[in-house]
Amino acid sequence: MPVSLKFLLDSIAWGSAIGLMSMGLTLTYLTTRVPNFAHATVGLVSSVIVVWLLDRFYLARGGVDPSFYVVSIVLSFIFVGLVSAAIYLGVLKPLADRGNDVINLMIATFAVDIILFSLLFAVLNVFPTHNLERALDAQVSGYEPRITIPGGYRVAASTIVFPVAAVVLALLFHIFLTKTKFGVAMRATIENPNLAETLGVNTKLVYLASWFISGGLAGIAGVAITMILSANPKYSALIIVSVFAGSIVGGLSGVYWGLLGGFLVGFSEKMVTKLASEITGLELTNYERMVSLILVIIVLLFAPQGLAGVDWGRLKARILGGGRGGD
Amino acid sequence: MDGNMLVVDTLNAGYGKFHILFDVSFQVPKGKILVVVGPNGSGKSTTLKAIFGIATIYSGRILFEGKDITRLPPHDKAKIGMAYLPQTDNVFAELTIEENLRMAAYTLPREEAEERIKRVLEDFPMLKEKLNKKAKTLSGGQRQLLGMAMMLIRNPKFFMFDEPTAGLAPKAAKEIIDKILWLRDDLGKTIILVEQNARLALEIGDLALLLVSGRVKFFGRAAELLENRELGRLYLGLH
Repeated sequence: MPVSLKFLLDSIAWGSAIGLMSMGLTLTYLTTRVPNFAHATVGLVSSVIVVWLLDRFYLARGGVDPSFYVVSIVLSFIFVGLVSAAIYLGVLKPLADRGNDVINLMIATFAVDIILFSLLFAVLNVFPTHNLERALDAQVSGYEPRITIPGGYRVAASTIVFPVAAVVLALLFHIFLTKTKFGVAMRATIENPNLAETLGVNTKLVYLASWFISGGLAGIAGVAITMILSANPKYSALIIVSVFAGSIVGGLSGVYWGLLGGFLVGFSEKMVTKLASEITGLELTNYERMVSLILVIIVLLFAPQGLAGVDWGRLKARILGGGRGGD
Repeated sequence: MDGNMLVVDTLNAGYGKFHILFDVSFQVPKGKILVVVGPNGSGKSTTLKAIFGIATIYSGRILFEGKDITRLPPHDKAKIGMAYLPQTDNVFAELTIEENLRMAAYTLPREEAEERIKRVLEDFPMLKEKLNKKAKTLSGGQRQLLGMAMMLIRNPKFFMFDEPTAGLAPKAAKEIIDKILWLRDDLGKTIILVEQNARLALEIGDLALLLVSGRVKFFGRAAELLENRELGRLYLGLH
């Protein structure tokens, strides 16, 4: 086997993190039509929360235990969600209300990205630590409990926790969108905001909520990325490429497609570069982003609407029909 | 003091920088139908959108039951008893019929919403069989009926219809017109109806507003406009 089970699990964890980010990016694109280039940096705000929890509470108590994952996920969802909602209310909504087009809004998200990046970097740099040597670049995974997997490998618990969390979050979000009044209103607003307004839906509130949820999901992905890599906002510049690639592969027309697209992009980045390295004997694992961008080109060429636009029923019939020898 | 449900006073409106309505004024008395007629592109739909707050209002005032609602957001207008059926895209195609109805009952408390949905389904039995189907599976006439059912759920006092019969077969169109007359005659509702069939509109309307290039050419009794040979010939293709 060219890749180990451990590598497979690591790739799934990475794919899940990118998937959660792409899901949020797709959501705010669908509601407010803003391509948010600050999305990855917003998500990495949770690196501060992770470091703070680890340094003040868990290391003082002797290490990371299962509650760490629950606490960091919940706190990050709420806090980063609020940061994201604040960015919408403070920057993007005022600009949109003044009639700025999508290009201006996109450039505004670049500005937000740079500001937030600098702030995060500064905060992590001066963060007063008690138990960690320093906050910036803190390797959180070193303090995580290990889980033994078949084959005798031991993986960090987050490798298992975050893919499970991504699936649970997708299910919860599905229940929210289909079973709650506000969730149905969100789908209605995505389809036809004017009609939703005339029926009494406060679409401004729906937009704000979508930014909160999008930021919250990115925050959870940010926890995963901090655990997998380290606490440093510099990763956002790399991640954002994969996140956009994931959303485009998904088709930017449905949040689940965003999750799936992001997962596929994140997963293939790891897998394809690893396989290519094994086969060629060259060190190609630094070319991850090339994989995501090649995926984008392939999707735009052959399925311009992304995965969401593919007629899966027809495709299946064609493949199965071909398998039977064609009829 | 007066019996007017809606008063529009020197309204100037449009979309962004596109000025479409110029100094439009009219009133709609309680329990009456005002029909808005005029050539294509004269601002009939924009009038409805401006009243509901979806178009941009530059100046002028809109009073609903004596209260100034010019700057009230659309979702709050829904709460005070106003309803609007857009000409196209007036149901959520990607939502099921049931979800569409639940959206229409958005402003109501849960129990009341359930009860109203049940009652509306009795008036529109066709929808009952398709509750779990997406609205995009409905025919044009069925969609208009769903749109109308959605308006009725909140039991509003005031209705605005934008060409509800456009593109419908005569039978389906008659069904819609009958529902509109039922709203006025049996339920005493106040209605603004934009209709491209001027004769039909003027026959069922109490009052008429003739818009030409965004300006009011005539406002008064519908019967009077129907008899006005000059306006009828110039702008409505009558006579």
